[in-house]
Amino acid sequence: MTEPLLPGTLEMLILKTLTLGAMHGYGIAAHIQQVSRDVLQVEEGSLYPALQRIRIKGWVKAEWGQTPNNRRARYYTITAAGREQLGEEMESFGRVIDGIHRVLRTN
Amino acid sequence: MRPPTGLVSLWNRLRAVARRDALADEIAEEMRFHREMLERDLGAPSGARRFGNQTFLKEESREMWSLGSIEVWMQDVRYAVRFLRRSPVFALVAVLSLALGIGANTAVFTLIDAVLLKSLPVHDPQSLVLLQPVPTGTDTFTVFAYPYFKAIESQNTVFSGMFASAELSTVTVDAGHGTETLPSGALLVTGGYFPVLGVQPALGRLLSASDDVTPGGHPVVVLSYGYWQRAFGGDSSALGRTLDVNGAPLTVVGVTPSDFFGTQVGSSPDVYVPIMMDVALQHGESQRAETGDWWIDVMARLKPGVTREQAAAQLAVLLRRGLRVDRPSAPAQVIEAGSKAFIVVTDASRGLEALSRRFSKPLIVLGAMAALVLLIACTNLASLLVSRAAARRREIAVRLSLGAGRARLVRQLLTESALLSILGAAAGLLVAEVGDRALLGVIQTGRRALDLSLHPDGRVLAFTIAVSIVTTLLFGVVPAVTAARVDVAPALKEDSGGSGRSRGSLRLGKTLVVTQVALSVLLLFGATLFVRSLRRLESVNLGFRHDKMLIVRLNPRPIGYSGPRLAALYDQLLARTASIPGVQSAAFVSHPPFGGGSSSFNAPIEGYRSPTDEPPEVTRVIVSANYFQQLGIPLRQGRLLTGTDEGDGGWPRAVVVNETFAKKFGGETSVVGRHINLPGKPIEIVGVVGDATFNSVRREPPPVAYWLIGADSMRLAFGSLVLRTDRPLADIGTDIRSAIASVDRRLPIVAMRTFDAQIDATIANERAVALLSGFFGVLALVLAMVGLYGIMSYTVTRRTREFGVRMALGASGGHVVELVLRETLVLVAAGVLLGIPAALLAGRVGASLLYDLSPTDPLTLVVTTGLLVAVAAVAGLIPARRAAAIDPLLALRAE
Repeated sequence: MTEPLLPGTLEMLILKTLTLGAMHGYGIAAHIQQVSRDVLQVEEGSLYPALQRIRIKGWVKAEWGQTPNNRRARYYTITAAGREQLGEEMESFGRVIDGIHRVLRTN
Repeated sequence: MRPPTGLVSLWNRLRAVARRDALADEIAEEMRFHREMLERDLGAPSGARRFGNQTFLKEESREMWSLGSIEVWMQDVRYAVRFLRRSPVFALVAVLSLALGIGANTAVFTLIDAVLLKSLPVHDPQSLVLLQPVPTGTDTFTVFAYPYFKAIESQNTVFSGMFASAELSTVTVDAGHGTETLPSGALLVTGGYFPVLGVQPALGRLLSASDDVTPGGHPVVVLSYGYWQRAFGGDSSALGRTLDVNGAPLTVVGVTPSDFFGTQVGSSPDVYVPIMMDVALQHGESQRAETGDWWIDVMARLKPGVTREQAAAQLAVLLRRGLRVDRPSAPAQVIEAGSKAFIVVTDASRGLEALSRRFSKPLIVLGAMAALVLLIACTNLASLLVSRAAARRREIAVRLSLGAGRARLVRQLLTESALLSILGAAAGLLVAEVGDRALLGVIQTGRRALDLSLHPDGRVLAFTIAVSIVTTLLFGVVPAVTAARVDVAPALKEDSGGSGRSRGSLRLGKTLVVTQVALSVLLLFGATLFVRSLRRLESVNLGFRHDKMLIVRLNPRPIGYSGPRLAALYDQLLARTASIPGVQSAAFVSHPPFGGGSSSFNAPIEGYRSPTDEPPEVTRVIVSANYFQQLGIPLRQGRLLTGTDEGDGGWPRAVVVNETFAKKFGGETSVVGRHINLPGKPIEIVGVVGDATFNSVRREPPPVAYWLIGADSMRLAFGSLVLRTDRPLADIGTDIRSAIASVDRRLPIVAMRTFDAQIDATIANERAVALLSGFFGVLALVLAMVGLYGIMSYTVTRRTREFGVRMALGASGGHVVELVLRETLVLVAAGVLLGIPAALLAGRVGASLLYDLSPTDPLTLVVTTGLLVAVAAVAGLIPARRAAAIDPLLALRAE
């Protein structure tokens, strides 16, 4: 089952994933899918554009490296600016969630 | 604090520009890897399916890296360059006509800016004002008397500072390498001049209040930057050197900055001297003492917050309450309260405005003509572009069908026009440089060269850019919009020779050409008027001989000549110069015709009742006995002057008068035998000579009384030798100088030139306008010819089939030629009909610049029309011949 994801949220999830360490695109998508217990399945059509966007904005860096199987892949690393951005986004996301909860809880 | 995201994005995008292609490959490789991993984990088919449209993804990722609109614009530029490269002749013609149009406008604007618009290069020019006295309540003087200046300076409360200046035009300087006459003279200044203007020295110090205390006690001088470069090569050792200025030794204390030219546009003094040194430099009585001597220009700086009106009001109050005027050698004078005198306070941010008054009308006319030329060039280009766009219909249709938006297409076509404009503007700046130098050469003030430096500066560049933008819009928008309105399907189907939609652009092209012809008529009409007016000015009978004559203007007063010594000096000079080989005769005159000076006196004339009860004004000219013979001025009545007519005590015994005098004061009977009744000294009129134009062809000569040099020595300052010689000036100049030096080595020669050159200088304005408008007129003709040729050529191409059919049906080649020429003439006729009323209207504006010519002169109209018809014939001939040479079979087969 796949749920639709907002682009802003996707970037936030990617950044959070990268705080765990450098990863290539496939690895990021796999991680998100796994940790969310298959709720969030990131389409490639959304993933790579999002990666380009945050790369342009200077929140991640990209470098070519070697996979454990000695295959060439591009690894993304979060930058200091990216960490700052992540902190802000998580905060505002939290506020949004609280707000939605409060509305849903009213009887 | 991290930098804003927007900036970081832009920076990353810019960095990636060079690596664009490599980037695309990397993204592709990345996705391939991802796909392989998917296939490995999920199996091949689902992997591929889940991956989605690769091409689209690649494109989208790539899009993100693009710089958006900047990239699109760069692409437009690349297309534009390609378009121009494909048609180099068109590009060259376009850029050339734009360069001439924009360059002409920039050149004229630079001149207008320098003469009419730019403020003085001093501190805060907007708060500077000029004071002009109106002592009797009716006539405004431009100059002040020194004691009044001092009084106002000490008793006003509205000015933060005041200063006065006076020009000395004849100044000789000895800097250690011999005496030379300063070409731009000297300026006497009070202590406040430099401090109030707020000028800083380029070297040393400038004059200040401490140099304005004791009469004759400040032997110092400040050099202008230009003079410092010329005389001392810009060497700082000039400081402390002694200059002999008009015989007075002065120490150099400083140099003015390079962009400072004094307070009068067009005249930049070579040196500045404290006004307290006026006696040392002028060898006469000090004019500072007299309240009756009006000779200084007074300017002031308003205190912050004070307006010109407030200042004038306060000065009026001062005068009404009675101004206390100190005079060094007499008791203080008080201007009576309630006198009619007052002072006019005017804006002086551009300095003293003699130049702009003289040149404003011609400059504006020239500006209008330059603008017209640019308009014509734009119309030309627009019609050419329209024809080309019609030829590119297919290309445009293809691009439209491939998905290009019409707006994008219009923008791209406009980029082509913009590129042409930029190239034209760049070339135009070069044209303007050359043009400005030529302009300065053509415009002179007659007596002194114009001290203007025309450098392109910020305003000029801004003006050029503005003109380029307007030009682009003018000639680019209409063709671009029309071109993009192409109907895709029919355009794709037809070939280049077809009809249909192209009819619209043909009509547009024809309208443009007709407009162009109308504008050309306007320009040509004006140009022809100015040229004919100049011819008339040049051929006016002046009443005396002026060929083969040299005028040598002298000023012996500064070196101490006066009284009978002056007469003796001139006698010697005449004898010495008459004996130079090649000189046929030498005469003397105090005010030569077109010399620009005059001197007059008032005296009652026997037998004449003046209508105002004031004694009439008579102009006086002092001459040697052979003057009339030398200039070929005929004797009408009585006799000429001889030695016995000299008087003593400063006035002659007898005079000769001109015809204007005789007519004005004689009435029915002859004036010969009557007297000019100076109190106690009746002067007999012994003869009448023919009128000689005095200072300007446009004005009647005044009534003149001539008398001999021996009689009036005391009042002479300047005087001129008139030499009749066949030898050219360059040849005989040194001989004349040595002859004069042999009489007195220190005698300054103010000017030496041919009579013809002197007269020419007074019509310099008219000549400049005629020359330039003639140039513009020729330009307009050429542009009109090119435009007509373009449109007719296009017409013939379009109607190839039609002409082929006609000839197949029996029409002769000559008939076809006639057809084409007739069409050309119809276009011209339409343009002429439009243009002539406009020309007649505009002629009214420039009428005051014309001499003896009506702005609706019919001959000029005929000439203008004739020229354009001739141009039309030439322009239409080549396409006509091409039409006649069409092979009917080929034409019919081309479908």
